Amino acid sequence: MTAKPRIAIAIGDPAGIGPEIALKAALNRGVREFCEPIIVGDTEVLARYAHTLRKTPPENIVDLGAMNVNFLTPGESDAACGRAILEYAGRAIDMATSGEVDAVVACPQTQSSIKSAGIEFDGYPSYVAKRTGTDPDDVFMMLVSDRLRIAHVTLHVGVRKALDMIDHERIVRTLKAADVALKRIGIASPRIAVSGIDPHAGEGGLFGSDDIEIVAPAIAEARNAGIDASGPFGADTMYLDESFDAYTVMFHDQGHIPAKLIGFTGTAAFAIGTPILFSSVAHGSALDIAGKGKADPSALIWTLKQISGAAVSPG
Amino acid sequence: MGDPAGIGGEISMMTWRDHRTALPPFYLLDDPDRLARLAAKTGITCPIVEITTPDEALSVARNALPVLRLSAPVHALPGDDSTADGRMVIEAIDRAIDASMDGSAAGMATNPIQKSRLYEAGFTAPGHTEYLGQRAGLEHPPIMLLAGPNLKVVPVTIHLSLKDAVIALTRDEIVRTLKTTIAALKSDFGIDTPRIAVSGLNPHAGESGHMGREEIDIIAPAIAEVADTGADIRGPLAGDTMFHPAARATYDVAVCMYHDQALIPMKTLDFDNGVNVSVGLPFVRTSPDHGTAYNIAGTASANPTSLVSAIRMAGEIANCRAQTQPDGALG
Repeated sequence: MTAKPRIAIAIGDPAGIGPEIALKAALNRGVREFCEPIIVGDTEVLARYAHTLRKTPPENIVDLGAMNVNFLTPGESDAACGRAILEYAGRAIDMATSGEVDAVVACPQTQSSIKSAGIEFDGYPSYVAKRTGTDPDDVFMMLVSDRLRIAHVTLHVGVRKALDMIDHERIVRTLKAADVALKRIGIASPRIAVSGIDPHAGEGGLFGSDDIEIVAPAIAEARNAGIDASGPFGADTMYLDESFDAYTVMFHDQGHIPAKLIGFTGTAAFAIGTPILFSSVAHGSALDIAGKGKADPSALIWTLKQISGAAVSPG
Repeated sequence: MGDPAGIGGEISMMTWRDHRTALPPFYLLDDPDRLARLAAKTGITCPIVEITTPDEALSVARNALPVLRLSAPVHALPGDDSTADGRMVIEAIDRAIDASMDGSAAGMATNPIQKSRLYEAGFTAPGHTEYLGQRAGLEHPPIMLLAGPNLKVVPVTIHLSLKDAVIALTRDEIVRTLKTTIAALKSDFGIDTPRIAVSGLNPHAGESGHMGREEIDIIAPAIAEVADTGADIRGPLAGDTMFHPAARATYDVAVCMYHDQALIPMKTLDFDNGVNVSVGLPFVRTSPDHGTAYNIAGTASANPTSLVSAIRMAGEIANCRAQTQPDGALG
């Protein structure tokens, strides 16, 4: 990317810490060096939090008028906040779809508020799918920590169900989604390592045949499609080879255990497989400290850095 | 000896060359002639002396690597797995077991083997560890405990496909693993009141049944059963959050439900230093936590650290057992 990427920051729950960390991040000089932040929210809501911080809000705000600030009490999230959360995220997603921005980072939402507004919702990733007209089965999660990028073929399902879900198509779709997302953050030719299903990737069929019959052919198909994927590797030793740009794993723990052990300064969860580049922030809306001016924006800043490609070393 | 086409011979000689003064005296069950050839080829300076009984190792181990000769020559070349030395690989294991059982050795450390190469020589066990259990006459195979400076882990299921592991995971199997692990931490590691952390099978330990029911139906009842015996035991815990430093400080061993859950944190935290300890055997057995590495065999580039740690730990466990069971489980 030659020009600085434009990143829409949806402020998340207006009663949570989202507006405050969005302001802190957008005003941060370091952040403005690697991207152009555009806050998607309500001018009045932001002005209120900016007042607490004794700051002037930045100029780049998309004002939706979604929340009446007179009915807003920081720390007390309700159905109106729930509706606003999705208006902010929805507009930010639309801006990315139309090309107005290069990526979206959504600040923390409060699921119970969205539900109390009578809206069906089970997390940002499936909302991104719905809003962009993507089949929810095509959306995957890529965990991004400072040293590892790990795409998950299955995520929040039990191991038995995950074993049923993993098939040739699903692995190929995950690899394609990861490849696209990695290119979007500026890795020209991503190299992706793929884990096996079984211990030692089945050890030549000794511990199960799924890696031979399912994973290896899926990798071959991805390679035919021009994706530089290799494997299947035993998940326990795969991460020792640091030459890969990303890893793809079959199960939640195969990816989350190392992500939380290696360079655990933070993790972002990219929703990949949709037409846009989207990430949420790795913590909740922290209603207990909302409006007090003491929310820490570092996870948001860190996510902005990852998604804008600023964490990708050139060449 | 381990697989003679693998790195076992050279890491053993490197261990003697660089670490012998810091380790308990050890000897190899191997073919001294093939070791001499290997030393010449790799340029590893390691004088070799043939001994006829384990006791002789005590007096010579400082000056040369003591070797008890196997009953037939070993011909394998590094990285070449085409030679049929399987019978000698098994003999080396058998004689180490015999010495450990009769007390002429305090314990055994085993170099890596390639199981598929041993089946034609009459090996029927699914793995090294299971073979030791058969030879010791155990009803259940020994449990694998992986120990490093930062973490100890025990996988309840090991070398099974994940599909089979999910089926093999029963309340009885978990209870047996937990009890054996607790006993071993007391007898082998000198921890009087071991603190055990138990993982769930599913993401976030199933999140109250939303992502699988094994935690509710199998794992929690197994934990409760063992807790009733007075053990300090917690779980089922989410696999992804139980290994960070603050969490690790609260337990002595993590018991995990399947291979990758236990081995990913182990390799991530302690790649070079991990030792595999067979728990529940009547004798002491350790092994390095890596494979035969045919691809680098004969180049003297292998890292002997895990074998060094395995030999050291075998000595420590033997000492610990001698103190906790002065009448001797060594037979």
